Amino acid sequence: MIFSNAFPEVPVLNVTVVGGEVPPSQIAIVDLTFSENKHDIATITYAGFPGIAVTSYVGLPVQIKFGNNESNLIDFVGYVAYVEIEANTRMGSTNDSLIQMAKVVCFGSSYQMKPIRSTAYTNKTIKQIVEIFANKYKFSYAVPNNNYVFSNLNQNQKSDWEMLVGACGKLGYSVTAHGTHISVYDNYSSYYRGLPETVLYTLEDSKGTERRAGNIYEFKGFFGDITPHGQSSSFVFNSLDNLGKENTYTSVENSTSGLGAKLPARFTHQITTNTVSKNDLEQALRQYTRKTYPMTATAKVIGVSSAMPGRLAKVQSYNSAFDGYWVIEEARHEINSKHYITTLKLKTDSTNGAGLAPNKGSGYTPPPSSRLSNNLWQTERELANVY
Amino acid sequence: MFTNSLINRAIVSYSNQSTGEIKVRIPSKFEPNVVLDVSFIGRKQVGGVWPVPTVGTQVVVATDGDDYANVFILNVTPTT
Repeated sequence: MIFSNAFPEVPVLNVTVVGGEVPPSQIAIVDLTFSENKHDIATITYAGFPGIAVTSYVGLPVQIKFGNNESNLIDFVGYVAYVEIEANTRMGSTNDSLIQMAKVVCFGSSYQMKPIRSTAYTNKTIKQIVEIFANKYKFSYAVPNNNYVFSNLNQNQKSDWEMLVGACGKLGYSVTAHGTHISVYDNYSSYYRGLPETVLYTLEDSKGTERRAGNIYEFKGFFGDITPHGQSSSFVFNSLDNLGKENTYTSVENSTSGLGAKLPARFTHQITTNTVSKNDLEQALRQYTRKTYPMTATAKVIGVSSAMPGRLAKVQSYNSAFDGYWVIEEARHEINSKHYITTLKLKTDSTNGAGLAPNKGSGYTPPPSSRLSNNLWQTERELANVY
Repeated sequence: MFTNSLINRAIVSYSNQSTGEIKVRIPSKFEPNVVLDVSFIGRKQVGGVWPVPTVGTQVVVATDGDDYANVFILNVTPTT
């Protein structure tokens, strides 16, 4: 059981399974993973689970609110996808149940976007594509103001979620659906958008000796052109467009994240493709540059709820060139009776060898909250943030 | 049975000899309401009219990318 006063950095935590009869007091672990281009996932582990609830829980709406404090709450809403149980006869009963442990695995609100379709979208911008799905599922959204028009997008045997992620990926954008808010963003624009930041403290930092949110337990980094987490390269694109013209475009012409001095790449790959236009080629290049980072890391820290994909984490006091801003790709929040730990996957294209870009963003618009209507999660109010 | 082939059979749903426009449905790829334009690349007028297949004809189409941004009819037979 997770007590409100169990340990110093215990977060605010409120788990609601709508229609579920197992009391929250039997919850032993809550594990939430937020990752770009993936459904949000929450796993609720129960100590003791009544047999009658195992099948009846599938499909139930779930809401989990958590945060370091009341002013910093993250809202997970979704549905129970499946229940995994363990019943070991040798272990007797737990909380009066022969099923000693049950993991209730929930997918975020984007789970509704799973059915497969075979359709196509003609002459649409990314904003129009996002709007189609937001209206269909009654979500709010934020999307970059990119006027590039896809002449055709193919959704052959793909779910709406796959289609959305794929369309955004063609422009180098990432997607998240937290709560009932679709957020489309360019990882290179994280610095300019003014999103909440997370500071990660080392022992060298004066705050590192205190037990507080963001203190680093473990930091594992990978630096180089080719690492276990992928490779970082430059690109030269060549294409034939619809006018019969051959075009060339290089990744040097593509922007950087603005987080410092971009690391030069050792290799330059030559990519050849068909495109509709030169603009098409420029957009296509971003899907390559936004997937290659010369610096990646995994940081395990004392739980910090502000850390979410697409936002920035500031690593400080390693007295290194990698101190500075990193983009969060994935945030996993694990809460149990003993601790709250956040594990972050981080990436960046730059060292702190140069100053930050001057035009840092501000004016972040928090997404609307969610409401349940006919057992489906929907946005409480419409928000179309084209930025 | 289920393939990711970029060459498929299609049904002509619209064609116009004056403008050269051709629209096709590709039932093996898309739901029945999805209609795609055929590219003008590689086609030209013959004697002042565009050779186009008649509506309802089954044709073979190909595309040069998985987005189906350019759809080409293979071996258009003049109808005039």
